[in-house]
Amino acid sequence: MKHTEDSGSPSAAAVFFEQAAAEILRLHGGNAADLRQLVVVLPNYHAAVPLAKHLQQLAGVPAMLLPQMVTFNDWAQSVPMQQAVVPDSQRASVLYQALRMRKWFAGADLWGIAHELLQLLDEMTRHHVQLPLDEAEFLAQLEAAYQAKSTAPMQFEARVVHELWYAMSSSGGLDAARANLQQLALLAEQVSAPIVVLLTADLSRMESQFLEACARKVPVSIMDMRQLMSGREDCRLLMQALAEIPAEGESLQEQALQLRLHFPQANLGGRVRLYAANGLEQEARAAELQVRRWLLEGKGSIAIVAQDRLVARRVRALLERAGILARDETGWIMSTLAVSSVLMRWLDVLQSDFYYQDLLDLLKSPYIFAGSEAPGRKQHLYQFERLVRKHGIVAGLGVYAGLVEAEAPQLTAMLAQLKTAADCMARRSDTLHGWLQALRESLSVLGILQGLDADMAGQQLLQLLAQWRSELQADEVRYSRQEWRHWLALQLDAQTWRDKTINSPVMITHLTATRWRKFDAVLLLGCDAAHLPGNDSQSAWFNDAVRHALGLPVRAAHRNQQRDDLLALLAMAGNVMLTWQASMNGEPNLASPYIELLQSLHQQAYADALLETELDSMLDAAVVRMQDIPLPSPRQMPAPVVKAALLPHSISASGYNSLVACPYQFFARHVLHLNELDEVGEEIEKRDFGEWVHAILQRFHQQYPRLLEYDAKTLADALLQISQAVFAPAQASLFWAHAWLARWRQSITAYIDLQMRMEADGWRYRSSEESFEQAIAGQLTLRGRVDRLDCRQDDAGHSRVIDYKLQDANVLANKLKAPGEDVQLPFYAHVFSAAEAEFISMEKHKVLPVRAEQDMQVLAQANMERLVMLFEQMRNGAPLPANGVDDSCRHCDMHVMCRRQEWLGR
Amino acid sequence: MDNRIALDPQNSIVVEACAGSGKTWLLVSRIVRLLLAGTEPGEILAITFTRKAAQEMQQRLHQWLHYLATATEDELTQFLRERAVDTVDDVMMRRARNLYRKLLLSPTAITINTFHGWFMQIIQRAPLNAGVPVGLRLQERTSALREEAWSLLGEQLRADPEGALADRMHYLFAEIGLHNTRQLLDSFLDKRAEWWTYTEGAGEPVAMALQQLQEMLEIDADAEPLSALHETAFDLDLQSYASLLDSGTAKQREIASELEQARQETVLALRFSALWAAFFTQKGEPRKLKSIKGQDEALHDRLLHALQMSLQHIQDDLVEQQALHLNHAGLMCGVAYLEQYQSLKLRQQLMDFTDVEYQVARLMQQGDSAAYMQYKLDSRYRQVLLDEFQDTNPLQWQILHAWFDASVAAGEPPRIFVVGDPKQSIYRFRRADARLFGEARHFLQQAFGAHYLAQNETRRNAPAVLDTVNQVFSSHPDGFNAFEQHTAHARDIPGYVHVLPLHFNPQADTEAVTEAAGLSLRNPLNEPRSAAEGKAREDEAATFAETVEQIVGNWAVSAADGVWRRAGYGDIMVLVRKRTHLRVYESALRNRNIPYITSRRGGLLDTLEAEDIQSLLTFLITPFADLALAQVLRCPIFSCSDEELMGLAQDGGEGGWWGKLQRCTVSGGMLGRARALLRDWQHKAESLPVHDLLDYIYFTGDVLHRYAAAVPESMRENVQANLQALLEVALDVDGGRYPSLPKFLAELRELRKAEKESPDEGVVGEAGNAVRIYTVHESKGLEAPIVWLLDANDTRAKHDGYGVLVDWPVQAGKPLHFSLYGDAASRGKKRRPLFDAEEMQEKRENMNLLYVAMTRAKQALVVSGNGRSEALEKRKGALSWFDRIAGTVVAANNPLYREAGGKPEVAGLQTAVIDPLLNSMLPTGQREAFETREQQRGTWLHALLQHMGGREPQADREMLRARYAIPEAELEKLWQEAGLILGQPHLQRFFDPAVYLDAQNELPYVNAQGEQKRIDRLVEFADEVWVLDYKTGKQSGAEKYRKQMEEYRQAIQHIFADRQIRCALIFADGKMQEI
Ligand code: SF4
Repeated sequence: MKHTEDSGSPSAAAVFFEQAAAEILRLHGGNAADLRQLVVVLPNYHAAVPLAKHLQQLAGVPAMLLPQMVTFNDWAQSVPMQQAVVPDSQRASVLYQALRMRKWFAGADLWGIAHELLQLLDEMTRHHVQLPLDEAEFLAQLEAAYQAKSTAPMQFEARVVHELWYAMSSSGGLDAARANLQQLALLAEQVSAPIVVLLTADLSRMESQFLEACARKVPVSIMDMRQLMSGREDCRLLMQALAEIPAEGESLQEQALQLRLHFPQANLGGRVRLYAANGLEQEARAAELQVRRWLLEGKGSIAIVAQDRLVARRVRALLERAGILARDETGWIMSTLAVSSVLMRWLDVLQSDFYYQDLLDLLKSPYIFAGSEAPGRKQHLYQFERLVRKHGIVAGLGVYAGLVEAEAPQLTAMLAQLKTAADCMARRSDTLHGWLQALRESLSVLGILQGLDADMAGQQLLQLLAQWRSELQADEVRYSRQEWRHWLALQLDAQTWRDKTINSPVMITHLTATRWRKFDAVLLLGCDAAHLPGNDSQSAWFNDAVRHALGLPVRAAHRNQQRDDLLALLAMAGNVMLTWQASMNGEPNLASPYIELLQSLHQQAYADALLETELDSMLDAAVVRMQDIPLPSPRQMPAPVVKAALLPHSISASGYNSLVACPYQFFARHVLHLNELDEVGEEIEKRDFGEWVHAILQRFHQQYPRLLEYDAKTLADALLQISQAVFAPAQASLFWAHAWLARWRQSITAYIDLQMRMEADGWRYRSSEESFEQAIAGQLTLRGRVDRLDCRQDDAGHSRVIDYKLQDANVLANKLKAPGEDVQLPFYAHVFSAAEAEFISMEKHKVLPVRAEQDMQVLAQANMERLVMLFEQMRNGAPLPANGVDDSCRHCDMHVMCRRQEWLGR
Repeated sequence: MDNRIALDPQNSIVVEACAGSGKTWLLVSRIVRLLLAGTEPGEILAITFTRKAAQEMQQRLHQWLHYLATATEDELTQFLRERAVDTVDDVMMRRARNLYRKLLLSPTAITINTFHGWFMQIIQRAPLNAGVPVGLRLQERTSALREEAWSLLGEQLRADPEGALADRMHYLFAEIGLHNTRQLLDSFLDKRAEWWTYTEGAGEPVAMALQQLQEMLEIDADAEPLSALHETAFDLDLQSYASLLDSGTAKQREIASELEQARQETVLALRFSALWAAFFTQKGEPRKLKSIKGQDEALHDRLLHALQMSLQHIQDDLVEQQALHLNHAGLMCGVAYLEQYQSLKLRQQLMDFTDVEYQVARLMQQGDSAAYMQYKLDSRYRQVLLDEFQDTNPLQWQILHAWFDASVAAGEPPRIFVVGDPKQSIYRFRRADARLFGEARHFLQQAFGAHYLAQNETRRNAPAVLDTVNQVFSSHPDGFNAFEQHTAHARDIPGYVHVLPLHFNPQADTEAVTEAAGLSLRNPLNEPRSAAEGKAREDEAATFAETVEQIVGNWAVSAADGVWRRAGYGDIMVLVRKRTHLRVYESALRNRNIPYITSRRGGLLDTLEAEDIQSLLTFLITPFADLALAQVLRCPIFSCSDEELMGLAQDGGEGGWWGKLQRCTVSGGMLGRARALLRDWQHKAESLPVHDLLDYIYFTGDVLHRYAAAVPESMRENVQANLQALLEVALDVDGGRYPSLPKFLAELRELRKAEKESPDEGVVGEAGNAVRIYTVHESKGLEAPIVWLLDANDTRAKHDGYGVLVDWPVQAGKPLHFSLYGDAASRGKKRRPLFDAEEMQEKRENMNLLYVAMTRAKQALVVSGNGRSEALEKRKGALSWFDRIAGTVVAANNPLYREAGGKPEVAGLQTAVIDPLLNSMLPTGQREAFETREQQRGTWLHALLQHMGGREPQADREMLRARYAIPEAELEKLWQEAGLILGQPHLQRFFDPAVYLDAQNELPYVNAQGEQKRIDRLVEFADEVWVLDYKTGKQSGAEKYRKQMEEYRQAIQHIFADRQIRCALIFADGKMQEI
């Protein structure tokens, strides 16, 4: 059976439905089994179910043909029209064109303005606002309403509205608002049956005019919840707190006293509770728990009213943990759905020339390439991603294509598809219809069309696109890509998708959708001042005073409506809990004024502030949890013993450095072989800079092994030239590369100077970037590459290793202070049996050699002995502790493996 | 101070009120008085500096009005008397009691807001022709936009690498490098409102700015300062001086020859630097050269002086010229960067806070607009209250000024109430200018006849604390002029100020490594690297934590009612100037299990737990991310051991770690669980929004509990709060448009980069019984019985970066000066007064910070600090906060000390006994099968029949298609099917209104069980009534519908008792079968 609002226990709502049913039967008079001759106007169709039941019960007939139960809107729309209605999408385009031509709003979001204006114009239509033919007269109206002298801005406002109003009304065609008016007028002529209207809040002007017209022909009876309530003694407090203006000067205390004395039954304590949460999560948790308690109590219909949508989403997720599905009547804005993401991402991709992040995001969407088989598609995708990461490609379909051709031909087809799809969209400007058509084609090429079609929300999206296509077929205004995109974005913002497949006693809904519904329990989320009453979007046009003078609804009307809805809900629902966040991020947050009013009066009258008091102590314990295995125990510093088979057979200088800095770091990097993922470099990093400088110096020394044979100027020129050549590719793709070259240029003179002095001291360049592999002590091989090797002019056997560093000399000197902590130089010195080893620090204008204080050969010897010993110990089962110190840990990406913060505290 | 004047609704008021004097009390009291006097809530505008302050003020107002509504007569009278209402009669009381409802029900709400909030209201109502872009959304986080603007600038330059702009950029690269260039241009971007204001109306802003600068620096861009070296007088002096020295000592002769060599140098720049080196020290001081006996001393000194003067002059000119070049390049590039930034926002229809502020300021200055805004807002303010006025910036003041002017012009001048304290101005970095307070005071006194009141009596601090404050500031340190002695409202509260001795680093053992027995290197496997740095701080932290424990054990504080109670952790507020070293102090607290809370700004995404989750999500969409996967396996969700990981590592096969894990045959245990859950999550990642996905992961992975179990107890709450906070970030971010998991992760990466805008760590509980740690900035408006000023010996390093120098005197409508500057050496002399003024203000602000910090303490102020060494301490120039306080404090007994003993227990929340059913699943609701196309077609066919077959045969095909969202392709077929049915001769009688009496589609009825049913079509004839039911598909299996039809028949028979009821099924092929 479908869950309906009528299941479960009887609720406070019953009395109201009984009254409504009685009224209907009274009005009908005749055969109680056939009410077809009657029209009941409902605020929504959910109300029909309980109403029908009460009708049947009251009439006591075995079967009953129901009256025509309908909403205002549907009733009006059922009247056929002779003339076709111009769709709003078409009108927006016309208005856009009008705004564009008039050039009133430079640089502004014209679609936004157009939509707002359309709304205003429709409102004016619906409220029968008649603008004077003469603009000056309209201006005078505004002056009077604003109570101010006319100013240029006011004149402008008058002019825009006046001119566009007449432009749009003369553009021919019948818009929906006008059609609606006409339909109501026709309907009022046609009515022949008595009408009963169920209400909770005020009718719109249009509706009440219609009913007035009907009332001249047929009996019309209005069942206004507020009136029904004011007749009920148990609603006294609600009415006094929220609806009625207190008698002149009557104080809260006096009101309370009256209630206490005369209306004890108006005490809400048994039904209504308020819960002030400390933050979003607590609000959601309390709400979720309350829903489960109600379900366990056997409540058959539970509404969650989502004044605050974020909390509602959170509650929904928490409920799902306990296996509770909720029917969501609020739905999702189209633009927040993954089905819209894939579409927009495709447009992003086109706009950014296939920027890799957009492209990968698109390719990872579950909706693309729907025809092809998922595992294969994924394999291709990951291959492609690795390729992009490895080569650091930022954008450009051609660039990807070139790469794929060379390295992964199996991906060619995928790129070809992208190309074809992109070609579909290749144009500068088009009509909205043309753009939509092109979009459809490209989506079809990409298999997105099929993907969307297999998804419920996707189907609705496709329907919408089709609908707009057909609505706009005749529209001839051309739009740039940018304008069109913006249009599309606004359209997607304006649509809602609802998952209608869930059938559940728990539903999430809007406040307005609760009118005349019968719930066993209601949870109202987000009852703070910001959400209750919620604001309608403020229009830039006029202000309340002017709107009032023109006959348009003012903000107070919107607020009153919410208040009345709340009132009705509180009167009808079985149990109600209202929640809000009394503090948010440590800041106080005001409750809704309605809550304050209710609470203060109730407190005074019945000494009960209605606060929920049971939940807090249950929150931590009353959770549904998946505890499938025992919990971990607090972590200690890890110190794994490496399995012999995993111990590496070779080591580089940086590997040794890592072992010295922190054995666990060595374990993660060189035993488990974990590395950071390649990132696509969109910026130049110091690492790139280092590589370039190494390349430059290698070239330079190969060309000029003996500097003293040249003069300094020639050398500087040559070095600069080489530098420029090396930097050129980077500069071509990124302007900022120039800055790095500029930085390096500052070092050129000083570098040549230093190098010449070293030569004058008798040193000679021997080789650079020399790779090596050298076995030591049986099972261990040293490997790596040395930046440069020099030797004595007179003794080729006496050599010196050099390592270039783009770092400040002091920093480097510090590294070398404690022997054995930075092993790079001794490591190389050992490999090349060099007597000396040094860093060359190159930092802007300063180029300086940096050496250790100790004798390099002794140092090299000691370091090698230690290395051999360490490997020996590791082989023999010595654990590798994570004993790095702050300095090592600061930049260590293995902190995620050693989990230092978890056992050390931060 | 006289509240009679301050609270009188008729008066405009400027109050300068010291810390703790009850500014909020005063402000809210005034609002109560206004309401009492009949001011409508909508006529009141109150502006505060932070959203939090605004909320608190609202809250206080509500509480008071509620109190008034429910208080006894005596209480009420008392309340009003305290607020200087003299005659409290019946009418007054009645009015007071009804204010609460009035405020809550008022159709136009009271405005209590921040400047930004109020500006947003204004801009939304801005006149449409004011050139304010219409319909833009506010973007609070802008660092991602900046990044993008920067790369767009790079693209622009790359497209024209030889152009004038690129040329200027190259200049910057060569002179100051990329890093400083970015810093400079970012500062420019920060000061864009000033720039726009400064150059307003200038056709060529950069040229105009350079022109002004050039005039100030008194130098042309293409002047040649070095040409002075050519001047004969100079050269003659140089020659004479050289020959004078030639007769002297060896040292003198050496100089002489250097000078002679320099004279021969043809490249002027080189000549200058040689001469400069000869006459000036490296620091740029003139060398003190002396004549020797036998030389003409007077001549020597005269020549030396003349030469040094000339050279100094040239040098000065060179520096100024360099500054000019820097400005030329910096402004041009800055403007280009700014243009990129602005147009980027415009393309995305966004505006930032600065735009809002600047646009509102512009709006207010346009003739008609300010007047227009007076009536365009729904509220007309008759009473304006401005809180924390010292934090106002010049633009905001201009806006207010213009607003006031316009309201005067409109003949409706409001009453204005300003309260502030220039001593607490600590927001220069947000462009606040404390001097505006004086200016506003002057203006309001002149134009609004405002009263000026000063309040130096504090209700917060004990006399002992206040004495220290008075002593520290009565010496007028660093621009703290005109300090008035504060007095304490309550003289008898005991107080205590305690300064702990400084901690120093141990002296490093310089000759630690004597290598007598050769080198012995550390064995990293059993000995960690040693670190001596930071010892002083750690010691301070340890003492701090130890003392906190003693305080809680042995101190007492007096509660609001004057009764003494034992001090709790919650009574201690810890203040630091910067968060840089906080973790050292926090870990000291943790070591002693002392509960604390800290509002760590921006650090969420860098915490290990947040990194874990980010890695997990990364893995889900990038399964080859090995490190990410390994991290996930190690983290508490799976808590795999290193041995298990080594087990995986031994598999040398393809497919990275995910491949290894999938091949791994261990079935139970952590690896098996990981394999199963990760597969499931990968699958879910395809369909769930990020928040829902995370929630699912947290639930199925039992994430919160597992983390809680795996971390030390002192971190537990923190870690859980962070995981929760991350979930909320997901809720917030993926509620945005066009979400996807890759996009979410990319956004997190961006947020992480943009430190200032990065999400905050989770808040742990409410304050509760925990030590609270704040920066001084955050502590504004707060107080505590005991305040501890940590790390107070830190004298801030001098600011030596690249930035913008703005001189905007408070009376001026726009800045008088705007230029860029580089490092200290390149700032020149002409702008020195401006730099000095800046520095003075900065120092003053540092004192303001100290004032704010000290005045937070109600009863006790404790100060501690550390330094590098005692020797350095003696030599330092500037006084630290520590020094200033220590200098005034004499040892005294601690009146708060009460031997009590023992550490208090931190009470946990009592947990109730829970119905076990609340711990179990409660499957509720179900998902119905997704409607098949066949079912959909059925629905559509019904709809068509309903519309085509009624009294309206001309139903609009297009309308039906749209209303029922029937796909184009289906419509044709369905249309034909419907036509087929309607065209059947044997069905004519059911569809021809001429034949039947009445007919209805979709007819609802209720049955005896109260259930609602629906009949597809009911057709009435004189003697019989037909119930028709449409069935898609061909005629077959009519039997299965029999029961349903029988039910229809019975129900309808009740209604049409006198007629025969006949039931029939109609199939899509037009066949009918009666039942
Ligand atoms: S973070 Fe520190 S302890 Fe952990 S692996 Fe890296 S260096 Fe070792």
